[in-house]
Amino acid sequence: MPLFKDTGGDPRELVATILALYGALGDAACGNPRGFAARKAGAAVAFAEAAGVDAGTRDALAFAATLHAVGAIGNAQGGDAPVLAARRCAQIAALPPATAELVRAQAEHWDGTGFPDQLRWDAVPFPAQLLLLAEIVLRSTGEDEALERVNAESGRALAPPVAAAYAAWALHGGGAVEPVVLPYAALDAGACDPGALFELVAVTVARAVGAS
Amino acid sequence: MIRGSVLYEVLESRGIRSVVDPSMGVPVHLGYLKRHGIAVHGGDVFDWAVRVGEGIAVNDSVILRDEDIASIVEMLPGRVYSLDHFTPWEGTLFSQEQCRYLDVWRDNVRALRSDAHVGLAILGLWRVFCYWMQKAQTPDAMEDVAPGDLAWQYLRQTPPLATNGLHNTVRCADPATVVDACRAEALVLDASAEKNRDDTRIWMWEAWWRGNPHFRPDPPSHEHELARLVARADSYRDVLVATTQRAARDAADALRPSRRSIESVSTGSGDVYIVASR
Repeated sequence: MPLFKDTGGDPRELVATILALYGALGDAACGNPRGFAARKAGAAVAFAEAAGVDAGTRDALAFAATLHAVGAIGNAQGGDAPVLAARRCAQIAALPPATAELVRAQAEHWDGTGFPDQLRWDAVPFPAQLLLLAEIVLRSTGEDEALERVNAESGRALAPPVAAAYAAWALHGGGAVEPVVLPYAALDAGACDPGALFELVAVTVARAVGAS
Repeated sequence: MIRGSVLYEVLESRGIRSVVDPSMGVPVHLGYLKRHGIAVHGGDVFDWAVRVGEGIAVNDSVILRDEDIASIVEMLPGRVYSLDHFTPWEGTLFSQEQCRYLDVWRDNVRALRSDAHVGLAILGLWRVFCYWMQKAQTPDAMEDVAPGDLAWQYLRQTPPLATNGLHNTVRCADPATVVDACRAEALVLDASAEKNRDDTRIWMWEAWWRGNPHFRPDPPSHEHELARLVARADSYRDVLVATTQRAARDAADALRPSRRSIESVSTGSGDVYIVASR
């Protein structure tokens, strides 16, 4: 029996809602403030727009930022959280294809000191750098501290062009970062099964509760 | 560059528990595999990369403590330093002060008490070196950090200790020699290994480690070509070639004469592993 009754609406909207819930569960699991994933998605997408990143990659970024912490669910030690998060994203066929790999690379540092793979230089995907930039900015207490922290990470966690782009963005007004509305139209309609996704999330949480 | 977490997933799905990478470069991927219980063996023609392998692939017990870091970063009283090895680099990529530090650090690292200490120190200082190289290119985009402070910061960021309870090895040799000398279930080859070695930041660090600022790497030998390496890998059950979507067909063609079963495994982000079995 299907978990959700077909009401004639676009199933992608419901899938996007469940994904946002999944992201919120990830935030809760790693102690992030409420709404952090949505704000991170908003920031990453804003930076990507400013950097001229194509729409398809921006969509993948929005989902990757939303699901950035799902690897923390049931993973109290936090080890390899980006890898676990990437595996969980790879189970969701409806997501834009790049999502899982962006999640995997979200904690890589440009100088090779990040994790899980200690990628360095050009091996770190540029959109993944935007996820990290969003993380640094959102964990700062204000614009000045964000600018200071981003400058300090130039050539370290962040590629110098990424840090410079943020400085230019902030200098030209930047603007408040708003939580993003997930671009559900970017989901693969043929692979959108709200019931299966809800079950996947429920099983993940149930296993986490069982494990704790 | 091979991503350890992705390679691990490919190995895990095939039940492979031991690997040899004969052109490992900076072997952070071997460190990842080791942390996840795979026996790792690696090789490289650059001695500094092999030393780093001693620190992160072979090492089972050593971390860099603050007293170790102090003995690397600072000039030690009573030790006689030669401070002119890297004079030829002055004024182009590095300042006189940076060149002096490179000399001091090299002497201090050579005096460390174990191969594991040496490997971890070389990795941390290499990151300082790369920071300086980048800053020389984008001087206004990066903070000025005192050399000693930067070295402390990077030496403290060396990878966490990993043990797998298995025998792990690294050796300084050309890829063909490593393929012949090691035994494992799978041989892992990075199709872009030669290109990675051409990176200035890689071979100049070998120049630093040798104390020879005029060092230049030898051009790659034909013996290192993929097909030739695979042809001598009879003892390995599987051969995995890390490549890209674009180069996947060439890699598969190189494997076909020596292997019966060829499979292409796409791992996302354009990475492809060609898995060739006997």
